[in-house]
Amino acid sequence: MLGAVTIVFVVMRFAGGDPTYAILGDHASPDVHEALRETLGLNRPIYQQYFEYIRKLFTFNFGNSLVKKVPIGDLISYHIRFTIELAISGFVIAVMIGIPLGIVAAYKRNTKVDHIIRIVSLIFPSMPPFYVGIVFILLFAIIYPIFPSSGGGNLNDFYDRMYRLILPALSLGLFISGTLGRITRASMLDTINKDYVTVARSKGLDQIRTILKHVFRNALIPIVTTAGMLLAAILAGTVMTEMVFGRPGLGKLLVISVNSRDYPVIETLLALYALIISLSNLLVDIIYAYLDPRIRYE
Amino acid sequence: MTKKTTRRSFIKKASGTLATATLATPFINFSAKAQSEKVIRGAMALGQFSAIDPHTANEHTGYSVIAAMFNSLVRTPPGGASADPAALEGDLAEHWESNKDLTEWTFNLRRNVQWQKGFGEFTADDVAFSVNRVKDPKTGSAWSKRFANVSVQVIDRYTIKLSVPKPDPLFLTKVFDWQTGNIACKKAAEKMGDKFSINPVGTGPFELKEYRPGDRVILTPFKDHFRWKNGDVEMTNVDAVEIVLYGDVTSRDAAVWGGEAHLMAAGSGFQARIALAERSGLNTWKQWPPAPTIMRCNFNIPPLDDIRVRKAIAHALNQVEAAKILGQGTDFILPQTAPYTSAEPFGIYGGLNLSEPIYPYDPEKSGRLLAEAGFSKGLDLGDVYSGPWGAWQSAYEVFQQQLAQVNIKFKLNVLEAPNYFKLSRGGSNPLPMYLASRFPDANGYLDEFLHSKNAPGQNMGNFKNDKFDQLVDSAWTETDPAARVKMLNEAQMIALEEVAGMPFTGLFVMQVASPKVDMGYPGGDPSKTGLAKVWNQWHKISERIRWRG
Repeated sequence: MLGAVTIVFVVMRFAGGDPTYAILGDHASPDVHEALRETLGLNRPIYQQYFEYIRKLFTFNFGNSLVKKVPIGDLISYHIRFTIELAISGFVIAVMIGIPLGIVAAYKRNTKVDHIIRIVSLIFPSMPPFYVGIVFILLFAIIYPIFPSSGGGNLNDFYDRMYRLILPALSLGLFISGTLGRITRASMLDTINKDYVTVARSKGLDQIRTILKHVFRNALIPIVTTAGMLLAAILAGTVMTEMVFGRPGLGKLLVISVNSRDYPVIETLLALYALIISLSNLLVDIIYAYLDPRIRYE
Repeated sequence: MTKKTTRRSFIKKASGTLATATLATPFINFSAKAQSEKVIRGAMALGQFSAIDPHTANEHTGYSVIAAMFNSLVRTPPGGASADPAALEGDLAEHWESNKDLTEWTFNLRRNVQWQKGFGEFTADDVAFSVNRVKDPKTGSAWSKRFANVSVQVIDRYTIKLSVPKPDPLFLTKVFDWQTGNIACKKAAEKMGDKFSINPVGTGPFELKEYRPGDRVILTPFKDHFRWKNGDVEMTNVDAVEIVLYGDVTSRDAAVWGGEAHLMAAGSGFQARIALAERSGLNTWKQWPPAPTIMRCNFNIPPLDDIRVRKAIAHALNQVEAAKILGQGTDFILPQTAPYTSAEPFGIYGGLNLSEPIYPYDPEKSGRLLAEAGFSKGLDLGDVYSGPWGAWQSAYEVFQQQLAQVNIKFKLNVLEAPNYFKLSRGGSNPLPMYLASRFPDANGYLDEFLHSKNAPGQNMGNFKNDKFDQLVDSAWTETDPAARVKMLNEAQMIALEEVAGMPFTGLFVMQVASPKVDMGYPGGDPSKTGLAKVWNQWHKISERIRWRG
């Protein structure tokens, strides 16, 4: 974590640019910019700014946004709900589409169905959410205006939020589902010829039960590993999806903050992302042990 | 063969239908509810409000919020206004007068004007507070210098005198509804301290309901707004106005074409946007006046310090062709012949209208000048930087193509705004272009972009000419309009002759509005309607805005 936040700090400071231009625009004279830099503490030595940043992170007192002038904690707590909604719903859609497709492809291996699913599984990850999102907006918000094109929805209106989530979640979910489908298929094929599967079949167990109970269950470990790693892809996907659909989530907040060099917001957000990825890896390790009792951590 | 319906399959189908209907009903209800709400949404491509503070906002996201929330001493009448001081109307001031020298201005204020959020009555103290707040460096206002020499004297509760040391014929443009002119509530600012910046309180027709940084501002009608209360204008039927940040041009456009948002402005892609607007039944019009695009040579970077090279560049520019390409067959882009072409039908602002540029398009002459300067095989100017905005990039690309035809090359680097400004203001950009809307006065424009006091700074070309500076400085205090125009025209000719500011094109920003929105004033092209509208952009949400139908 410390390494990640240090890299973020260094990269941002060497990326160039000046946040006072985002605050004052192009109208103010150089001395007004200089006065503001002084007020914001941007003229202090880099090492002082670094230690201040680390102190704030570890005391959970993130300070205020330079540009938006509100506490960063408030900013994150407002925006994070839209990202969580999108990430979870995108993931659920990916699982609901990807895993069944992978199972069917494995079950029908080397048939037309398998070929079609494999092609689809290649097409989905090749269409990033910003592309699919624009196509969806064009089709379902402009030409056939069934869904709203943008926005996160009214915080007090659950159905409004869900309504606005459909197109973004589908864009993100489809993107992830292809990879999940391919991994599921490969993992199922590895398992499908194992002895215990043959034994189950020879006992007269029906195909669906054999596939789901004996093949899929044992094929789950690589799938869970991939799904855990896909969380990083989902978080990256939320950034693009939120920009295309104008959703006020963390991804959009991050892009805007990078563009305006709002250092404290960028640094806090990227530390949060690093934390989420670390925790998700830990969660995957715990799920391993649950799925495969042979795995124990000592 | 028909499939037999069993009890099990019937139950399955029925429960499926019921579940679908249950899930779909709230969405249908939501859709109906959304259609019945009279919420006007203004769509922004930017991702954040630089500020919603009346004295520190410096771009359109903030201006749109502030225009709806605040009043100033005088204002341009909504939609149909000119920037001519004689055409301004009273806003918080009922009437005003100046002394003969144009150094003292006394304003008699309206009575019984209420502040939003129950902060009581507006008085002269609030005007004094606002002027001093803009001047105070701690406020961080980009406009602090405009009030640097203004002194304030409260005569009584409803009278205030503002003074300047030198005559200022355009003083009213410092206190009108643009940039420095907004009057903020003293009591609210003192009570809230630093938090006033994100909880501003004004006297305007809309008050702040909610500020969601990075998402939107929600404004609701302020029922005690003086123009509604006095019956000057019928109270709006709008439930709320939302200024929504989409963070991206595509997303913003989709919101407007899809009917999610109702107002937007765009500076490029005119042909496609006109077609989409027609398809979606939206109104489009031009924002008046056109924003000039000037190309500048950086005098500190050789060989651009050589007048022959600068002239070679000037002769390579084909403004008419550039306007055709950038305008995509529409008339949203005009060829420009001077750094500041007159945008007004009257002459007080010093715009210079020439029939053609003083160094007209002549590639052969351009080649000869380059050869004379020792660049017969062409010239490579290295890295040139553009800001990230679409209209800038397009203009730079056309500029690049035109120079390439006379064998002058450069590598175009598109940077984010903070980097662009840092490099260009720091003097590292060989050809710093600028495209900006400003108050339609050559004096301010020439001062900001070409005066030596702003180098380094907005004078990114580091142009220094004593005669030019003197003319621009003197024009600020010249009270005779004809003499002022003469000075500004002379200054522009110096800049043209020295190739300090090469005129390129003028851009009319396209305004787009849903027919559901009645801005309260006529849209359309001012040059066709005969109205000299200066601020007819949707960002100027006034007390007249209404929901149609």
